[in-house]
This record gives sequence, structure tokens and C-alpha cells, in this order.
Amino acid sequence: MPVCNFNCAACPMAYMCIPMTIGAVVVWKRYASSPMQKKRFASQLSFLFLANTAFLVGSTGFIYTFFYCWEAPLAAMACPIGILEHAAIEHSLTLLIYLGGTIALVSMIFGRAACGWACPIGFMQDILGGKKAKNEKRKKLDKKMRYLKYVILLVIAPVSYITGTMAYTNICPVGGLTATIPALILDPHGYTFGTYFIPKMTFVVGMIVLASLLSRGWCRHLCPVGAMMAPFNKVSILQLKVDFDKCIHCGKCEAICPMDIKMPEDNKSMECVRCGKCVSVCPVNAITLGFR
Amino acid sequence: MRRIRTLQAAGIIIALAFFTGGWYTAYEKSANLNESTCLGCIALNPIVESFSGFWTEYPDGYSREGTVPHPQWAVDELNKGRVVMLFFWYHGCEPCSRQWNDMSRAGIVNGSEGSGKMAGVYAENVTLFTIDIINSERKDAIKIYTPKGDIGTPTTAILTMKNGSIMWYAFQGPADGSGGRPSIETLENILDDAVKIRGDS
Repeated sequence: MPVCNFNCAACPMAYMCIPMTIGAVVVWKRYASSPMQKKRFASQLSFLFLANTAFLVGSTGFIYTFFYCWEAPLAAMACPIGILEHAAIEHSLTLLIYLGGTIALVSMIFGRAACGWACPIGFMQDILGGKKAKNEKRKKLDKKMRYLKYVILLVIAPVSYITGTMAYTNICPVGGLTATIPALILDPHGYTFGTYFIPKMTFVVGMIVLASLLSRGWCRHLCPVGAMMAPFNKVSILQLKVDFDKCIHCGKCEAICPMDIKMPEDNKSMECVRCGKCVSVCPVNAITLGFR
Repeated sequence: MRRIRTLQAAGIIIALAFFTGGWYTAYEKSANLNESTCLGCIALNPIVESFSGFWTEYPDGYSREGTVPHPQWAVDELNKGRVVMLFFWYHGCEPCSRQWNDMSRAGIVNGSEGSGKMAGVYAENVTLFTIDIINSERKDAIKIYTPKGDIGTPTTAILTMKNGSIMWYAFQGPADGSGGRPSIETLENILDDAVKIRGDS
């Protein structure tokens, strides 16, 4: 088992922990505002580590309940989208049941909390800290674009089934960021570029630019794993509860929401990632996040 | 409120049943998929040792040394006087499909990746094993032929025999002529060499 000893050259996680740690230190102020946000920060860091524990536990058959690439050098679990594609390509009902059961079980309990508390790509977006959609024109466009992630999710399986290829994975920006780039960092002279290298890297740049310009832009518009979990927000046990008797309609919750949800009225929105920022900012403690 | 609670309980029970059933039937397959490296998925192909003659032991650049533990089912074919070509692939692997189609067009193989055979002049002398690295019983053989003992597709190995000694060459990534990997024409030449060596001995 590798031991850190601050020997970055020998550490299998160095390619990832250094940039993320620098980013986390830079944004610590945003999390230090409340105990809940501190807990969320600890959770995001912990899941970033847990997602990359293959050097401890090997490659397991469990499936990530957030978006992370199984080709990442230390990935311990399987990519949900990769499993969906394989289920379609190999006509494997058991894989589909396993994926559906995993996502449904976690989402029935936590809703989309995995996006806000566990997903490393969500963490990266929190670090990048994009802005909210401000003028009406952009808000309208943002609202329409939110349907795109559902379209992407619905298209993945049929396209994989028809073409027999991992059509989404071939151009997946999450794979590009967490697998292709680390592989090149770990062995810069060990590879030639494949057919989809340029499209994949283009999408990586696109994802980073989107997340830098728009807060949680990837989650809002493009993430097919978030789309899988979103409908469960309506019925999950973990919910945002609003006490309208206490609410003074100050608008702070809506102003801080990274997903631009119309709070406090739309507290069961499919877009909510359960980050709890609205809970932290409420001056009269009218909003709570808990199991119902 | 009671209706929501009932709905939640039913949802969790159904989800738990799906998860348990799926875990029981598909966990191993998921683990196999996770363990393998889809080179097409990361859009990178490994740079390999280019062909300059067949090896008898592990060459430099492999994490192992000494005698190669060739699988018995391959050795059996060699003992019958044949050359063996191993093609490790799996469903959805874009470079695997590309190499297979290129080999098909060049008249080296025919049929599909799952049940293909050697074609043309090679059919008489070469036995092809196309091995699905997720579902085949022979899947573990790939670890013998990859430099790090990993599972990365496509991987191609050619085995021949001279005076009772097994000679071999293997490469990971598609046969596209870059990064030290042979082009399809070079692959044909390697097969011709292997057949000639086997015929001479």
C-alpha cells in the first residue's frame, strides 16, 4: 500500500490531489460560512478520495452513483453511463437492472444529493464557481437547456444499441478530464492519440468553460447521471423542507442557489442538488434539510 | 403525507430488490468491465515495441522476465503444426472494431469479432482465437501478453514454434502503423514470417 509521506513523485493520487487541494484551499472561504457547508466540503473531499481507492481495494464491481470515469487510473467503481452503454451493446438486462437498482436505491433515499455532496465533477464546479444566469434572456435559455441532459440520457442507450459502440464514452468530457489527461500525465511518452482524442479534449474544454461561466453549468444542462437521479427528488426521503410560517420572503435562498431554483416555493425541484446553501443562508431558519 | 410515506417505502423496497438482484447477477461482469482498460474510451493508444523479430522470452519493457506461460490451448494448436493468432477484444471497443474491419478488408480474417476465422491463405496454417475479455473463459490470457499484465483492448499476439521452442510477438492498441504498432500490411508480413518459421521447423 502506498504511503503518502508527502512524496508526490511516488503518490498515485498526486496528479489529482495537487490541483484539487490548491482549488479547495482557494475556495475554503465559501464553505467556511456555515457548519453544513463545512460538512459538505469534508464530504466532497472524502468522496474524491473514495472514488480513487483502487490502490487499496482494487477494481470493484460497484457502480458510482455520480459521474466519474472507470478508466481513471485509480477508479474503484464502474461508470454508470459506461454500464448503461454496455447493457445496450450486449443486450444485458442484468447490467441494466443492476444500474437501475443502484441509482434508484441511492436516489430514493438522498435524491440528487450525490451531485452536491459526493460528485468530484460537482466539486470541481464548486471550485470553478461560475456565475448565475442574470438577465431574463439568459434565464429563459438556461431553462430550455436544462432539458438537454434528459435528451442526452434518453439517446445514449438507443445509439449504443444501434451502433454497437460506446458512443457517449468516446467523446465523454468527464473521461477526458479524469482518465485521458491523468494517463498522459502519468506516462507522457507512452501513448499516441486515438481517433476521438481531439473531440474528447474539445468537450473537456467546453465543460470547464461552461462550469466557469455558469454555476453548476454541467449539472444543469449536460450531466446524464444527474438526469437519471433528478426525478427521484420529488419522492426521496431526504428533502428540503420550508416552514412558510417562518419565511420572511427575503429572497436570499433564491439568490444563493447555484442551480437557480425558484426558492422557497420550488423546494422539491428536480434540479436541486441538496447542497444546503439555502439552509445556510436563511436568516430565520425557515429551510431545513433532513429525512422526512 | 401517509400516501407519500407508502410511496417512499414501496420505492425503496423495489429499488432494493433491483439492486440485490442486479448485484447478484451482474456484479462480476461489472467488476470485469471496470478492471479492463478501454483504450478507445480514453482515446489513447499505447506506444509499443515495434516488430524486429519474434521473442522467445519476455522482452525489455515488460514487467515480467523469463519464460512466458503461454496458455495450454494455444500450445496445443502450435503442437499440431499451426501458427496461433490471439485477438483480444470486447463489445463497444472502437479500436478493436476498427482493427477487425481493417483485417477483414485485407483478407486476413472473415466473420465477426465474436466468431471470426482466419481467411484466405492463412486459413490453412493459422488458428485464430478471438477472445472477448469480459465474457470468455480464456479472458485471463491477455495478462500474459500485455507489458504491464493489464487488460487493455485491442491486444494482438502471434505465436509460432521453431524446433520445439515457442516464439511470439504481441502489441496493444490497434494495428494502425503508429506508435511502434504494426500496420495491417506489416501484420500480414509478421503472419507470413510466423507461417514460414513454423513450416521450416
